[in-house]
Amino acid sequence: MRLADWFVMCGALAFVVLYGLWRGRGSNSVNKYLLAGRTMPWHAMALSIMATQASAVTFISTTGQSYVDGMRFVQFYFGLPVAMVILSMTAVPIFHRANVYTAYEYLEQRFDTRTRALVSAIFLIQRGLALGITLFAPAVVLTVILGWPMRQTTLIMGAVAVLYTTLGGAKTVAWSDFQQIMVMTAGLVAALVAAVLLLPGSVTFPDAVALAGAAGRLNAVTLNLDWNDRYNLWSGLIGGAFLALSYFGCDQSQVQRYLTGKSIAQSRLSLLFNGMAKVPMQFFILFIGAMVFVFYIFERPPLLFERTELARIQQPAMQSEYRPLEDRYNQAFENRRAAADRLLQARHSGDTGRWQEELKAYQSAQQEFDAARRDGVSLVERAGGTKGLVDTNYIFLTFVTRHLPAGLVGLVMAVIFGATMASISGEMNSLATVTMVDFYKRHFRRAAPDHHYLNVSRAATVFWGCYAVVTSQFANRLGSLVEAVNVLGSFFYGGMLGVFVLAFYFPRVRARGAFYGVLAGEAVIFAAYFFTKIAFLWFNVIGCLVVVATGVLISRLESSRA
Amino acid sequence: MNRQSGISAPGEDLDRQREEPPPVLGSWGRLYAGVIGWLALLICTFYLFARRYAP
Repeated sequence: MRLADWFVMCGALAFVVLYGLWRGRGSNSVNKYLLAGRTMPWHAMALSIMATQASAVTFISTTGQSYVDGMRFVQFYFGLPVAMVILSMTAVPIFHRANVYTAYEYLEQRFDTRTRALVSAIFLIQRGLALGITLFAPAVVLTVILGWPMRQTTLIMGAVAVLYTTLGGAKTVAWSDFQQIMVMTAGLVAALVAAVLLLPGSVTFPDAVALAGAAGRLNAVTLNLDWNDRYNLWSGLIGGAFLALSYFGCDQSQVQRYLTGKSIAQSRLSLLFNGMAKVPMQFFILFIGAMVFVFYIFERPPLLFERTELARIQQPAMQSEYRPLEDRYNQAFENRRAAADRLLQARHSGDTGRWQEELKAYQSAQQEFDAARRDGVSLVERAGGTKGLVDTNYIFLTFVTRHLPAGLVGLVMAVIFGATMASISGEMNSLATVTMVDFYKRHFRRAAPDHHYLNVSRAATVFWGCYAVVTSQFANRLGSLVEAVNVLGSFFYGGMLGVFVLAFYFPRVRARGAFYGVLAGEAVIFAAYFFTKIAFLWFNVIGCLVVVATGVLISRLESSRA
Repeated sequence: MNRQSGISAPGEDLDRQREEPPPVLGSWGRLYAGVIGWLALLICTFYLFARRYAP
């Protein structure tokens, strides 16, 4: 990074954090610290919800995923607007009327302490682990760019986020998120414009879109119904809706964002805005990845984007195998570039027959190029490196640091770093809230002055920050980061959603049915993961249905015995 | 909920809020329908986009 990049990055981040602290000043009671005194307007909550969800993972990994696999990942978000409508109709008024700090407090009102404790514990485990992954993502950035050691990097990132979250609480989190989304939008638009402008002069924007489409990178909607296929229209609409219902309805990191609203209407509007904006936003981010793919048709990318593993196979001992592979890779790149040029000439000529012929040649060249990259991954394994290396997470960052102009690199880095801070601050805030409200206050000290609980909340925030740093040390073993976060969520969300469905819609279900329903749901989800090949998005559906069925069955048996 | 001493209760007139209409489209039902309609429009647009540029 150049001086201008450091200036832009540090300036943008300092502004976001200081603005958040300024808006969050005076959080001197538990209500203000955890729920911003329930004073937040809908637009601040909406952007805070989006910022909490859109971590650095979203930018680092999603763009890379589009580069490798195309845009079909956007379907994962198709269920989200449906979920936002359902939650606006049900969860928002119920939680507001219940006057709760956490979603799990409501479970005690509806069922019993045991169910509340079980679901709260599931949340702490799941969100705590996800927190580590969220913190790991920007550490990848610093390692790639500056060669900083991962451990120190996560420590610094965690410390900054802990500092302002601990000082300012929910209000600071929300207002810094608000500014962060503005920075994100600016950074993403700039990255897309730069990717298109950096293409050769002869390649127009429609040409670039045509090349991405011809390589299968614009597959935004796929209609095939395949249970083992992670992303298609049906898994997105149904599985995605269940995942979004779980995430926004049962995960305190999101529930807490809209509980800060000054009215039911404001909270509803924040969710509905998110429902309308999220899908186009993800489409846009994936489209950036597709344009980066086109850029690298004309600019030779490294054989592997993960520099450490690339250096491993370039060492003298591996040269006898690396040299022929490099020659083959370079030839495959030249062949693909030439095929792309011919395809564009065919496109401009308007000759359909010639287009079809050149399309086959282009796709064949792409396959040859992909095969050379796969052989690079195999060589890494033979050299004693990572098995089944996935370098998806390094693609966008390589493009940014090597090809974007000074200043713009700093802006994109500010997006990535700020997104991480926005996510982990919201997550730490919610983890601290559940720790204090659902465990400390409920089970250890039920009556104490407000300032005591305020101090406990701050101490819990620091604890979860430390926990995040420790768990982030293991996150680099999880492949594509964005998928890792979602897979992890799917292990637990189905069970959590099921118990809230029972609470909202099945008034006859009792505490015992709800408790054992959650246990049964989790057991079935883990069995599905270990013994079947069912795609993870369906775990939410399966888990939820098992919880509901078990809860209803047990409650009916109880009623018939009574 | 009967909150124990210590944490201050938010305390709002939630029944009144329940009736508060949305700022656009006149009713919550219409706004919900608008969000679903927007989703349908996006899916159709993306589908046509994907087909237009399919290999």
